[in-house]
Amino acid sequence: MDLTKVIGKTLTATPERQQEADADWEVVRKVQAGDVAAFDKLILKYRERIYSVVYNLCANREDAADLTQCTFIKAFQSVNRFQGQSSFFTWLYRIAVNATLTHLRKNKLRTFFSFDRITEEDKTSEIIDALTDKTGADRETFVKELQEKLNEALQKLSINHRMVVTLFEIDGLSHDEIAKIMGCSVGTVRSRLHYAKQLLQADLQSYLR
Amino acid sequence: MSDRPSHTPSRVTLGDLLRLKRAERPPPEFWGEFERQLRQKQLAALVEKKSWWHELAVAYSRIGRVRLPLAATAVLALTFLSVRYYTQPGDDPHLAAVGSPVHQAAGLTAVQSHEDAKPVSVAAPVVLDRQPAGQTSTSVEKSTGLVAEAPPAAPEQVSRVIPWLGDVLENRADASGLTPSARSIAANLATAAVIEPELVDAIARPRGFEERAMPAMHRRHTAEVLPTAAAVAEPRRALLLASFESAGAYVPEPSAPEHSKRSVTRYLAQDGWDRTISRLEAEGTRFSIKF
Repeated sequence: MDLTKVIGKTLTATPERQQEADADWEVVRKVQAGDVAAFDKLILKYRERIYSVVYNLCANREDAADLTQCTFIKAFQSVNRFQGQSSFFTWLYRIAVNATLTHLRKNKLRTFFSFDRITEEDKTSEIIDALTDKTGADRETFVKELQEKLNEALQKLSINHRMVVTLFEIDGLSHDEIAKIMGCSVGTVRSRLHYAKQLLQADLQSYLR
Repeated sequence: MSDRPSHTPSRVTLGDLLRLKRAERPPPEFWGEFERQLRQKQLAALVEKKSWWHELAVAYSRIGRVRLPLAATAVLALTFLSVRYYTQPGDDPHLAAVGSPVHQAAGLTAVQSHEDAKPVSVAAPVVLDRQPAGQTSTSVEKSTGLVAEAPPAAPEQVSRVIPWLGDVLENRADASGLTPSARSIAANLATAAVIEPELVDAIARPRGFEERAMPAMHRRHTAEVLPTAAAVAEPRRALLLASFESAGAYVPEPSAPEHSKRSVTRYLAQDGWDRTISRLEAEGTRFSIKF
């Protein structure tokens, strides 16, 4: 294993991430050796996370689906060039983020929102319960309004700030990982995150106590 | 939404709200459609013809680790070549000798047969006697101190072209006032005269009015090349003007407007009108002058 790979892996945030990166690298090597079907494993593993990032950046489910597919196709086409200098997921995220940025810049003037439904799970339900005591249709309307308000607030952020918030708060990546994906320093990531949170807090003040 | 603030407990944070965003997920059936579309796109991408620049990018990525030393070596080599060869022919005696367009065009190499033997000067008029092809190299050798050799190797050609190219780029005229292109044409013609004397004669032989007006030039059977053209142009011009003056008074074109006729007559009456002539043409009995 060469030095760049060692450094790449050393910078990987957690032991779990490292295990994940090693597993991905094995699959990638299979794909590079000609086992095209092995790439399906990577698609299955990452499609939801990639979709989530893209969706939260562009706030349009159709565009998000297209861009996610586009990301996997680009990754598939370029997989032979992947040399394991970073973890596969960082590389894949970078492709997704770049594709989304290009899309957003191209379509700056025409933005349409279409949202996925909020899936109510235990934690989500608790939060909604804390926000409203409505039930039935009223509750659904409230959730929908809240969702719109949240997306609206996110869309008010610049692309870079939105990306940091999405990757950190929604996708749960570490500062290091975000810095690698975005190609900036960890300090920049922290600073952007702090600023973006301030803006969001101001915008969503009526929901927070 | 109006009732929201009254129901919002203090424990709801921004992180909690953003967690709701995490819960925005597509329905399970969405992934079936996603999979199908992805397969289609993947197949389309597989059969899609890749452009040449894509191949270039792939090739470039393969040399990933050596690209920095490779680029540095290339830059160094280019710098070395530039410094080595971007010198004026006069600065380097060797380059001056081999840098002459005559040598380049003829594929000849300068050989100092005698101490005082000098390479062909491009500026000097080159007049070549017409003779059979077999004797050509001998006469060239005698008159210029050059011998014909096998075509030079590629690096030498480069070394010959670069200084001369530098001259062309700088658009410098040499001592005789000839432009690089004129020198190049002269050199080519001289070379052609060595190899194909008949062809050069056919090209350079005066025709029409020139043949009639300057029979002496024709009798000399010389292959005229461009360096001499400037020198020859003056006598020709004098001859043409003399024939114009001996032809009698200016007879204007009947169809020409009156004011033109008057101004031409007035202009011809002035001293030194012939110095402003830009073009002289003789065709049959007509003689036209362009100022």
